[in-house]
Amino acid sequence: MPEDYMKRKITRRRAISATGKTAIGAVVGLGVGGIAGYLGGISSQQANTVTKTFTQQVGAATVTATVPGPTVTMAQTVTRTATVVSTLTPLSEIQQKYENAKRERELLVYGSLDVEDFTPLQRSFNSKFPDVQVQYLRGSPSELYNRIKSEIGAKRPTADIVIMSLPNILQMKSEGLLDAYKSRELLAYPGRFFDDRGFWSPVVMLPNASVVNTRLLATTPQSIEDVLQATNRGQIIMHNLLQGTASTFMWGQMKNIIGETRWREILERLAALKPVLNNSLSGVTQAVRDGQYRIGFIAYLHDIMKSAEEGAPVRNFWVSELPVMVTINAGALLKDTPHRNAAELMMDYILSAEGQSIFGNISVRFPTRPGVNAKYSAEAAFPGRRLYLYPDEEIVAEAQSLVQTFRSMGFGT
Amino acid sequence: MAVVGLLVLFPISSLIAGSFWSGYPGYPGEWTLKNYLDAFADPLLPTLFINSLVYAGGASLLATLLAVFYAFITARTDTPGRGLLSYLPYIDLMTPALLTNIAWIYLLHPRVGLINNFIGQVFGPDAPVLNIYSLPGMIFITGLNTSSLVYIGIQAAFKSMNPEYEDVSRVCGAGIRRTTFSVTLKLTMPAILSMTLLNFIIVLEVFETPSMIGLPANIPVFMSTIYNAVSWSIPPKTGQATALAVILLMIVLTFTTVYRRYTARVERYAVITGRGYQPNVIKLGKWRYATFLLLMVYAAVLIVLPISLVLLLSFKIFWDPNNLFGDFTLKNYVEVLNHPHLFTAIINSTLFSAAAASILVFLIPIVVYLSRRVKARGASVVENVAMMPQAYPGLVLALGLLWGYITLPIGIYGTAAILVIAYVTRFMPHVTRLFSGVVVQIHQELEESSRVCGSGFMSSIRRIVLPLLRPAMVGAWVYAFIVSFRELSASVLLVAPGTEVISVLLWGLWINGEDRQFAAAIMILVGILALIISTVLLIARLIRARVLLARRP
Repeated sequence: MPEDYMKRKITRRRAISATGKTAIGAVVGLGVGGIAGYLGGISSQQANTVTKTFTQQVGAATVTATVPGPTVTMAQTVTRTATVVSTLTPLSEIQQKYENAKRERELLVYGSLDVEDFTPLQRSFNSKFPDVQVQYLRGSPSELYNRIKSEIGAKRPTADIVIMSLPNILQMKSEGLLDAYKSRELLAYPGRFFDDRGFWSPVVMLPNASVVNTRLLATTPQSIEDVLQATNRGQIIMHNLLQGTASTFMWGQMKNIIGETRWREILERLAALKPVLNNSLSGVTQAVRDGQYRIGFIAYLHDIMKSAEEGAPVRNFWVSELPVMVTINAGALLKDTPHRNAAELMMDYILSAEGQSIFGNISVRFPTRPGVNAKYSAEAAFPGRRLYLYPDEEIVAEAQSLVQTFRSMGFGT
Repeated sequence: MAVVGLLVLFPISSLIAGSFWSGYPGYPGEWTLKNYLDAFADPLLPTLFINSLVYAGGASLLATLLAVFYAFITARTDTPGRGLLSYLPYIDLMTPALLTNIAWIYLLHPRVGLINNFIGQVFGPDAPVLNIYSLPGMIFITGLNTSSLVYIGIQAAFKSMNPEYEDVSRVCGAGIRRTTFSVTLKLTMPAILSMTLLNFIIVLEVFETPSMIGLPANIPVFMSTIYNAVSWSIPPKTGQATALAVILLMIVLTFTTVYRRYTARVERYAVITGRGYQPNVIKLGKWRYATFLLLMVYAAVLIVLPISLVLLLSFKIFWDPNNLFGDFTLKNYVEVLNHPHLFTAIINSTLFSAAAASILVFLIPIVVYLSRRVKARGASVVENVAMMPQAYPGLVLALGLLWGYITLPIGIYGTAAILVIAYVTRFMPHVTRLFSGVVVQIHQELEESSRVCGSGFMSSIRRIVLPLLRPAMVGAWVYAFIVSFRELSASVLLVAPGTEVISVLLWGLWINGEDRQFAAAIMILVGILALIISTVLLIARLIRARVLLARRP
């Protein structure tokens, strides 16, 4: 069963990536012929046009693409202050969008990213497109969902873009709250990292990892057996998989990768260790960092790395038997967006190499665009491991039955 | 009355309608009872109910005992430092519940709790540990945390009491203890019961302790279920949450009715009468040092320990009970002070909270007075209406506000006005309860005397009732300001760019795992609040001094 599933996925992915490769190749050709480089802000010593071939393993598929490198030509526009550079989006298109966006004057982004994480990109965008005032409102996914749903239901759309984790974006897509927009920048991305019809695009990658407190556990677990030892009873904290959110989908998706029998065995043994279920993924790392529990199974890699960089006694690990799971923070245009051009301009910028580079140099965020000039990348964190993106839309539809399954295994009792 | 009705009934009718609607409000659906049927059919419901009642009952009882003790000692005895110590609960009110919960987790966590660590070092590793992740742990934190509110509600009753009843008791041979239990406490019973009832309802809607302590301990309560349904599910189970909230509303209205019947003969409890009064101060002799010590212990447990611990956390990168004063850093403060929205949020919170507190202190005394004094049919209904928002957990009420006001064509959604309205609506029941306990104690003969002497209705109110209500008004304003400043549930759904408030900023830090920055921000917040409240109390004292001076012949 898992093999069938994987084959089906691989075929689909290859088809998508083949189209992507053709398109990318065409764009690169055009790029050599005169399409301008990246959206601005690139250091002057890197001003020459270069091309770069990169390969990324996403799930079972390998995506190879040749695109202009992260630093290419700068082209000055004649507009008031904007210097606009792009890799894949024609300069004329950007200029046209900016002219239209000027009339809209503003843009509101709702997002679950920290304000500090979005601010560098927001400032950079504002410096390039000064006649579009970007405002960012941070909220938790449920708060943002309620706002968006209510605003659209009352026919008073306020925000233009929403940035949230993929499971929530898929839910909003299924409820018709999103508008399609497929940026040309998506040509640089692996096929599974964006919606075929353009309803969502990747913003930052959110790899999962397990975390261990190095003071409480001298040896980092290598295998699942190390984690499932009886001595770890009551010593494990994990994200609440009974909520129908990220963990539910991550574990659910894993069933299709490792096979149901093994999956069930691991989870039942884990439940028998009476792990504490925490509603917040970030809270898992906090609790392990402060010595409340030995092992956090699972957390977000960026939280663990950030804590480790600050000197906390934590280390990330991923047991060899389990696939490395990643999800993304996705961005989408909201239905009936009041500032359509400004929103498209922002999405292009977020997806551009420069936008992704800004995210990838924040401590700690992982860009989704392969090959950008960034301090952090998911590939570097898990060298040689395949990254499995979750959730797909089938798993999201199964949320309630998965919760029942996990409950029957003994979680939350 | 119309204003109260509009403020309360508009969002609540949206909620009630939402509980009978199969879809999300504003979207296609049909009228249904399914949400209620599902709520009653949930096999977890009896457990939730029992846990909730034990939790809310235990915490309210503890809070009342602590508050009565503290109010009595500070208001009616000659314990040293009682004047200064009487302001301590206001400091506690300034500390968000999130702070107290974090602090007690780090104090009483079975593995890394500072107190448990100390016990282990003194009595050895096999010594029993105090486990905060338990029902008694939840009751302890919440009871302690809400005792300040109860104190603020009842201290005016102790301060405003006519001493002649106690004098009579003493003349008849009763000692201090008997007089205290048979006269003083009995006469303040309406205020005590009123605040206990209010606190019971408040505890039912507290979500910090149930989610931070109860969920990891696997002790689900009513509120954590509602909170999970609204806050952690995508799409939120608003139907289930609103159905449970409507059931809770029925319970609250039942409690309110019982209370009103109990206090129907208001004159029985009127202790501020036409004769002049000056509350007795009980001379404790050498026992005053013992009471001083007890007050200090209470202050330490209520404020010093939690705030010190969070202060410590704010200078640390990670928690290590064996290295409390090492590895200090200012990084957390630097990052918080560099937050792009910090100063806007502080200014907004101050302005919006002051506006909401002022509206409440103007509006609610009128409501309570009319409800209690006017004999017209239905006059008492308005007080019940003012109590209705209490039945709704903050987040659920916020949904009602969102659903209600977003549809209004007057365009207040996304402005500062909707936040002020939200605070007024949310804290109307609290302020109503604060005033109702005091108004009950003012005997009608005072106003009757005034009228007999030729004063009109308004003149009697201005010259008799308002001066008697002044201590309660100052207390209520300070209380409403603080709780509005801290308010989170409604704010997160109603802020817009430019109207960011500090509680939302703090929440963002917490849920993003920036708990050390959160600790630093909390310390900054507590400092600002302390400054504002000190200024207000100082101004109130100066005004009072001027009034007294002007009255001198």
